[in-house]
Amino acid sequence: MDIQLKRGLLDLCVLAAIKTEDSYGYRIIKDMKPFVEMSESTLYPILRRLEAADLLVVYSAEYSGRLRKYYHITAAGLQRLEDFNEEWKEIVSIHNFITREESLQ
Amino acid sequence: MKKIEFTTALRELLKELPQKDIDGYIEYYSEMIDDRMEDGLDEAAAVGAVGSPAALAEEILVDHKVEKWPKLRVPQGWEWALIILGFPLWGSLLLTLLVVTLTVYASLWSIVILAFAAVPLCIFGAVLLLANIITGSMGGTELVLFYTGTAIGALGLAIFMFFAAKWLYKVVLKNTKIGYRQIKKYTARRKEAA
Repeated sequence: MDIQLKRGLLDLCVLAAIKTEDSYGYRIIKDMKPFVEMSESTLYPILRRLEAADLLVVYSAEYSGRLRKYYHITAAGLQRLEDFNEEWKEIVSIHNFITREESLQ
Repeated sequence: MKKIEFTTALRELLKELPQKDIDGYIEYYSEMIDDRMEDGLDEAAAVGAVGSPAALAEEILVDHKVEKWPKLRVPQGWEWALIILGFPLWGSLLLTLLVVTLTVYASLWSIVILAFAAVPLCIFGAVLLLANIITGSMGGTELVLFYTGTAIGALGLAIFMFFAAKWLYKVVLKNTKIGYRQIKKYTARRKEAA
């Protein structure tokens, strides 16, 4: 897949992973596993980028005697996911057009 | 590998990065290892699953290298004034640098030319000596022997200088090409970052 496209899509996946409740790094990867393979090294820059864009916020909380970083989606992050739903409709109609051309041949 | 070995190794490999970034990475991967261990993996398996410090560091450094080149930006109004005012200083420095570089480069080529010039000179010298010997204007067998030897030596030197000159020529040419390519690569990278 085009690398820029994939990057944007993976960003959205991470946002979706923390949409309903806050999550932490390892769990995000686990939750995504049935749908998308993501390695730790790929996730980290995404999390940093999303934080820099204010689409999520980070906080530390105690867990089993150690500090764990949790990620919480912001209003802007939720809006981004909404926007993608709209974009998806456009992608579907583009795809319909492309495949329509094929069936005409 | 133990977790402490992993973090130490990774820290070492990332040492050229800002401290804050290094701490961020170490914390992140440390947490990943802890979470995996909680899931049931033993320490060695958890560390292995996260990846080798060398492979991770390579990826991280590549990401950071892209940020290393500062973006070229157009100078603002007052910055232009400063540039113009300072022209006598940086202008003459730049000119000096250019002239020195060109002089050094020209000298390299002069050496090559001299080496090539030495060839006909030596041959000429040898011919002269031999001519003198043949026409008999030199007296005494010792002198004749001496000058014959010198002539042969000069011919030998000519042959040597010829190959030396050829070699020098190749070296200067090759390094010029390498230098030129490096300059192109450097300017291309700065253009990309802009």
